[in-house]
Amino acid sequence: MARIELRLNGCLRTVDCDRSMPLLWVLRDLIGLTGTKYGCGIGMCGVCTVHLDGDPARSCLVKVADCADREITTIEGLSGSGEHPVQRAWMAVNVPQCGYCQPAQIMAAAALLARNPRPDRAEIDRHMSSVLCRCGTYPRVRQAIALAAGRQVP
Amino acid sequence: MRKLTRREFLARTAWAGSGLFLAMPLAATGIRAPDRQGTTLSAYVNIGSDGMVHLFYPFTEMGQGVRTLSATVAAEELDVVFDCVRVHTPSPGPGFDDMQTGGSYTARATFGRLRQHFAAVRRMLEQAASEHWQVPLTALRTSGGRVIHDDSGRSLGYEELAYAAAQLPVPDDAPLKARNRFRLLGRPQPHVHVADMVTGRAVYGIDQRVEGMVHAALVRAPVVGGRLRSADDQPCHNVGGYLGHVVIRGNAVNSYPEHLRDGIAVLASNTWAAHEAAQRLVVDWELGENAGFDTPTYMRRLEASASASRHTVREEGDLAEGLTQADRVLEATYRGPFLAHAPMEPMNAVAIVTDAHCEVLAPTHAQSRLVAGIRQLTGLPADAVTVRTPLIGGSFGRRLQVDYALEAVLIAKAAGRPVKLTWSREEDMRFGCLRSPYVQKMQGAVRGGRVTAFRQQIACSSVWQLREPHMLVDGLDDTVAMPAAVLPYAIPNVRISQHTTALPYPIGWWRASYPTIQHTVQECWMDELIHAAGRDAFDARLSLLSGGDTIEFAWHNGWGTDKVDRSRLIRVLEELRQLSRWDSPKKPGQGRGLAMSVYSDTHLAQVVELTVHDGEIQLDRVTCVVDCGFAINPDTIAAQMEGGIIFGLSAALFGQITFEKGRVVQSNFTDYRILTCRETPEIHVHIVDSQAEVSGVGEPGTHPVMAATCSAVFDATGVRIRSLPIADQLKKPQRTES
Repeated sequence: MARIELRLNGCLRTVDCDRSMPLLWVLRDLIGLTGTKYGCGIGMCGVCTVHLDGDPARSCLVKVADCADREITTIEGLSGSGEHPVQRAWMAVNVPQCGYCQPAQIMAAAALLARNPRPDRAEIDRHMSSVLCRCGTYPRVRQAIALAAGRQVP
Repeated sequence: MRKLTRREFLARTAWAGSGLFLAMPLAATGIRAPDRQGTTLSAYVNIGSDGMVHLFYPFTEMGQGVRTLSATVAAEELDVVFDCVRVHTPSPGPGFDDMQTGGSYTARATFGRLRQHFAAVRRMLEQAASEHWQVPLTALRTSGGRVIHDDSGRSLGYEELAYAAAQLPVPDDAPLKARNRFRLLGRPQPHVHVADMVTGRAVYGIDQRVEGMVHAALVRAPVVGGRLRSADDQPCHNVGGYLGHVVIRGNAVNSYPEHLRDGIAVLASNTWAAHEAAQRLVVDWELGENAGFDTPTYMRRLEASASASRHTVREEGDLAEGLTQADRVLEATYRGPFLAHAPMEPMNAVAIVTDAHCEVLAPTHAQSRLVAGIRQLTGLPADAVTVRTPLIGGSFGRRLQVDYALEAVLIAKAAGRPVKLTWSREEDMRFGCLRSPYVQKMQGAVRGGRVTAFRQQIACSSVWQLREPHMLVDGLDDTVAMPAAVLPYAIPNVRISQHTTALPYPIGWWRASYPTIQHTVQECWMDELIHAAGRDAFDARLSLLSGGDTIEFAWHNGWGTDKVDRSRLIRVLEELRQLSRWDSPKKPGQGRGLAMSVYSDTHLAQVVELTVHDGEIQLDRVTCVVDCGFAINPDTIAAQMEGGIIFGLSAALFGQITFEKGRVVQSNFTDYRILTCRETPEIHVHIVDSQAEVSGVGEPGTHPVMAATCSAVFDATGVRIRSLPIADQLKKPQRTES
């Protein structure tokens, strides 16, 4: 067990846990931020995507001890209450079906647009293939990102 | 997911009664409103003192949009603002006595009834205002959750009228809103949970926690029927947060409602610790008689069964003569694999069990089945069991089985404290309730450019035969038979027969299951026959539907009939031919395939366009035309078609679960691949402007797409895909057909 200080969504949080505990479970079970989801546990499906220093990361693979010096952003910290352009685009396009993977889709999309404000279709496809969706919302994911980027829907 | 369900609804539930929900005694239903200041107007409607309208709707949201559907109908008929409606899923009980959502039947079963119900509630609110103001009903109108008297400029909110309205008799003649006055119905409405879903506030089963809860991971017998010999938890003590373990005893594979395996539940203070400890547990299993079960052996057994299939599902004309009097006779064998659902949210449940009460929080859409299972395990009466349904992170039929929730009940009972059981993804793959595999022997004949004979011999496993054999009629499983019986073509000589087996492994419903088998095989086979006849896929189908009549097939136990309206299919095909640009030139390596399907009264067809280069398939475009009657929410329909298509494409390209030594080989998304964003084609959905009754869209989008994909591959390469998934079949030498 160790005491670890985290910079999470603009606040400082302290957790007491095993240093090798994945960030995902620290967020969900110890801190109670359940917007970040468990999907596969091996970094394949991406539904646990958060930002570490602004970059998308799979929180099921990241050990909490390795996050100590990094700024962690989860879906709960992306905006105050859903006004991030990606979230607004997501609502405008009505992307979610079951909704379970959507926080991760949004975190992945927000990271893409932060680095590349005008991604083309191939860049969107390449980047967003990191997060799986079983309901099949991919066509709307593409549309929403194009909308958030201020482009016509592809 | 099965036709029985919707007919059960019609036959037995309060939803089917002529008096509707309002036949329930008002304000006497035992349902507590979220807002205790509110007024219960019926078993299903409560109006809060803040004006919010709370619906208690027994159909479960799992991404298919039924909460949005019910909220839209309520807002429309009650004349309230869409955002002022909250939909709740009740626990099974009086008035909600057969809770199960499936069969793409929710919209069809409830649309008209919801409208009548809310129209009656609105009329009662108007009546209360009429008596209060002493003015005639005809002088009143409703808007934005208020009753308005224009002559005097007065108005009252529904929350002010609700108590008086609840004392009034229920009108049986409340007029429905005319369709030309619809503000919301027939137009796109947003998902009722979209704001919570994009901010991470939406609460799924896996997100729930209750006071005093511990986390559990379950180590199950690796083979069905395996028994626990011994376990050593010494290594678990090295995991911080490990709290101990309990043993649960399983039951026979054919147990109703669910088969549960022997297992050892590892308890811990968080999910991760529970799974870490579970991996360290040392267990010795007696594997039992299924330890040799494997896929190749079972497929050989199915192949023999297909040749010997004796249950006639449909017979017309004289097959022998049709196969003799022919220009060309064709034969082929089609095969398909076990398939897993793999919803993104793994199975989970929270259970609180005491001597007097059991409460389960479970992402399921078979709540009444769960109650039956809980009563069996606990001996508690029905009114001592509560089932709470959170949001569901995808199901596709998986959560019509409630095994995971019953496991949580057994663990909580043994542990003597509230327990949250979370499955790993590996468990989800290895202990799923899979779609049946199949082998089908096909024969057919063409003469003079027409398909003149069609023979289909079906072999597969039956969901019912294992656990619910009483659902079969003289050994015939109609959930298997009916999707084949509805072959829509006017072919003079037809014989369809089937043989089903009870597999020693629990199989389940998979986005309707058997239509994904029967419609795939039939439409692939039609493509072969049409090609042999030298005809175009659209032309040949249209000529085989040319009567434009309706054919009907009766369920053997009197549940009613399934209909195919050939005139609706003709229209679907004609619109699809245009929209898919079927007759336009193709690029090198490109192919197009067509398939259609009728299910649950929804008529639809799809064209897949793809390109094959060096054995690699690139999906270019899927065009879908669907006639599902009045389009309640066109956005939901389009979303369900898009999702259904992608679900089917994943299965066509990659989907396959295999068994070795009694165990599932696949373990995660690495070896059970699903489509990614990059692999997803452009998808265009067109909804036919239809006068037909409302019909369902949750499952049918999946049904034609596998066959359309296989036919497109043939068009592109000349290679016939007769065994799914396509996987790497295009990368090695294959038999081809001229």
